[in-house]
Amino acid sequence: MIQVHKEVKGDILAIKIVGSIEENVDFAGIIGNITVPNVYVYLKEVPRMNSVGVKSWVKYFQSIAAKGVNLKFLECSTAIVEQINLISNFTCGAKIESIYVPFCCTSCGTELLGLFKSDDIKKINLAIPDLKCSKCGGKATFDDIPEEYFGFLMR
Amino acid sequence: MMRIILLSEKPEDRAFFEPVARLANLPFVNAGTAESLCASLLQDPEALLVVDVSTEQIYKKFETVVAEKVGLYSDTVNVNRMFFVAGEDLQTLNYVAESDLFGHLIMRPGSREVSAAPDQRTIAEDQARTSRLFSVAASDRGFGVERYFGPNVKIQEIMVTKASQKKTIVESLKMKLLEVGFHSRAATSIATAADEIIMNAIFDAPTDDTGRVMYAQTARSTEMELSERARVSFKIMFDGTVLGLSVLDQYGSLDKKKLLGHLAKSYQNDQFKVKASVAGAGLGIANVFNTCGGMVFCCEMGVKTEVMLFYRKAKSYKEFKDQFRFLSTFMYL
Ligand SMILES: [Zn+2]
Repeated sequence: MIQVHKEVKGDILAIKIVGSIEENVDFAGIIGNITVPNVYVYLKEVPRMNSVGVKSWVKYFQSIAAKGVNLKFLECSTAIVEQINLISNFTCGAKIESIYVPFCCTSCGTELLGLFKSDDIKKINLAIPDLKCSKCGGKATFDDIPEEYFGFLMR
Repeated sequence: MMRIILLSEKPEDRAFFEPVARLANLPFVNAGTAESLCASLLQDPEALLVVDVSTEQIYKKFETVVAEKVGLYSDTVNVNRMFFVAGEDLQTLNYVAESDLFGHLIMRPGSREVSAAPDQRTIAEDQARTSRLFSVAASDRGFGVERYFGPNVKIQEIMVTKASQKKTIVESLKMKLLEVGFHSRAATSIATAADEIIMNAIFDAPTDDTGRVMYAQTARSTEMELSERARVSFKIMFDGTVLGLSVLDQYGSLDKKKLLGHLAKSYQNDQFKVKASVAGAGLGIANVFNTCGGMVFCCEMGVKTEVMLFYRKAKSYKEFKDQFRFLSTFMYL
């Protein structure tokens, strides 16, 4: 079951979603009424999503967007980025503020994640710099295909 | 006589499939022209055909000759033994997805531009897997995920007797994959694939006597005890390199045309938006196809359907994405 943490600061509602998004999710029920003009959704802790979850997602966020709410997705996990790339109407008009970018150490195979702002990735033309592996100090390179993982930035 | 007949002008196809034929212990013939392939087929209707369909023009020419010389719907043409080969995915090959001759599609290994080092490209392994696929196609039936593996494979079978069991199965599969060294994103994507194919078997496979899908309007979160017939067998197999998943239902209600339509859809394209109001298997199965290596659908109408998925373990996710891809359908009336 997913958990939702909510916090209102001025005219912004910050929502943090934790857990896999599947058939049991009821966004309208757990998020409730939106009474502010800005909704920021933090998605770092969404590890997985199935097709029924995707449909509930699109249904809910489309209905919010239709009310004229300014929607932003932040700290999108790799699972969320995959859906953004796979499904043209997944973002429901939201601005993708920042995403987690996957890296893999070329020496020890450790997986790492780096948080990047979408605008910054565009500025460097998708040429993501290498990271230093936190385990062995080796070189960790971007572990996906730039045109696929950052496909949504080129739409 | 059982043999493999290739129709392709591409030297790399001959280089790939000739050793595959040797591994499958089947004689290999290069047909040269579609006319000569049809002449061979008329003499030898049991043959496995491997046909380059890289462009619509090449495909249409082949289809026209088959229609003239043999007949598209002739009993001589057994599409369960028809293997198309292309460098592109089904989403860019609509003429293949719509073809009445479709049986299987093998994506030419190495055609996807991912910078894997040449020594990591396991062409020999891909050939061994193709040879097992050919051996299965040459047999009477395509069922049985274990037949797509060599002898040293570990098998686990779970009987799904209620809908809520899926969640536990999917989560424990993901943990097991991480334990045996799958990359975490690969493990997540395989777990989601298992989720989708189990859900399809529970909610989309059961049909009543009139062929109507029984749970089309049922929420996927509904807790259901599954009757004897509605129970689903889920198998996991791993040989140290390749993972296989299999889901078997007892209905045999697969609609191949509809399936190929789903798989050929790209939801990246604005033409196919996700409609929140429509339930059904299309989106899930399209996503599974996008991320898997091999995918096999085997259906005996009114009796059973087995859906099988194959994934190669890789050091990185980038390498995982670059795996050998094929789509197979075996349909029995
Ligand atoms: Zn390292």
